[in-house]
Amino acid sequence: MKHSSKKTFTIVALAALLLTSFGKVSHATVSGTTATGNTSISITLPNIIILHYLSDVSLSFNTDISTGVDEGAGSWNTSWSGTTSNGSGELAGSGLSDAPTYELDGNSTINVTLPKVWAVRGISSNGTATVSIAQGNTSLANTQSDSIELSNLTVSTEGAGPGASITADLDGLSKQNATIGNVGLTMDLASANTSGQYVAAGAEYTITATAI
Amino acid sequence: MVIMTPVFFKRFFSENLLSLFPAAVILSVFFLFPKQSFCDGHHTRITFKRSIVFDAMKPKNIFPNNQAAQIADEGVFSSDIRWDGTVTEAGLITGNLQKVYRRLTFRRWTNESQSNQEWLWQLIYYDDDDDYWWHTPTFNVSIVDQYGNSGKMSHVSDPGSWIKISVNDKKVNRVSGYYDDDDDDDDIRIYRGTVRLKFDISHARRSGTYRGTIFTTLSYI
Repeated sequence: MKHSSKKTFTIVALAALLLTSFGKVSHATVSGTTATGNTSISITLPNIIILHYLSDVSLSFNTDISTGVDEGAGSWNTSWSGTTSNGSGELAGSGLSDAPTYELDGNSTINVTLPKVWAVRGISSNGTATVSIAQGNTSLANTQSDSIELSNLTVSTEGAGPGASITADLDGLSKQNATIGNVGLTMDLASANTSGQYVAAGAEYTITATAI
Repeated sequence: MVIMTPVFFKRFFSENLLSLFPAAVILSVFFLFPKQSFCDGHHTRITFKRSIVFDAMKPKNIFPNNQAAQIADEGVFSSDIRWDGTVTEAGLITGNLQKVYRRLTFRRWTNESQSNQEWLWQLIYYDDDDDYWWHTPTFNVSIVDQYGNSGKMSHVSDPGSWIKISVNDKKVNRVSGYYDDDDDDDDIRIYRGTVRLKFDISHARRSGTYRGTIFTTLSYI
């Protein structure tokens, strides 16, 4: 090794030793009978998600309906044989008055929001989760083979949705911080001509939560 | 150092690069060596770990099984519904949700085998004058996060997501070395300290890496 190379090596080695020594002094010191040192620590948490759900939803149109609607006066000419003619005020389906407490207004569908029927909590890389809803068997039937059809299934929270898939906040694992959500659906009663219980075989919908 | 640095670069470009290889090796060894150590000028050599990466938390540390995704069936939702679609029941309440987890804490030793770390600090007594008084060292530790908050480790990208950390246990072990009455200079006694930490993830909302610093104060005489 040439003299200049040796000199360079010596300088660099010296610099390395000095640099390293200065670096250590900043992390560890000795004083009298005690020594102090710093140790950097790290640990990794995985994605964790908990989904709470209601496995059975039962809705009842609140009471049997029995109500009278006054459709006004009617008049007819009546013969001695009992026949009527020249009447006025005869009822026709399209001309019926609204019922006082319920009415589908010619539309057989009802938009329903099932409030707070699922909840999610956990930890993820950005503190959120994707919550989605998938349609199952959405045709509910009764023993008379009449049916109620469900459609437009959505999920929502106070700050997101409704939609088939939404992003929900995750605020950790404590249940007090869980994000609670709703399910929305449209109920079509066009083929529900008889009273009774309408049920479906299998699940009507499935909710999936994924940490992201 | 301020003067030496330009000298180094001047030489670097004017000399044979091969001659710098030994120096590069020395630099690498010093910078990659994972400890900080010093002698107190008497009979001891003290070394602190520069960094410890704890074994990652596993779902089994929190839940009865090892699944990271958990479900909880909250039962039946039964409600009256009006013809306008209004549902009268309120639904779930956070306070009534099932707990699901067994605990929100888990523990790790600094010598956890998976973390490939054996100790937090090491002290070696050298009996070079053959009349040295052996002392079992004691130590205390405190932990702060990267923002200076005591008793916390914080997520690397979200100060609002943190782990409460506390000391669950401490141990000082004499791990090797021997002593005899002859006059040779080989008698040593080695002590190593380990600490067990309890991690509470109640306030963690993000997965990923959490960091902090352990400050160790070692009393050895």
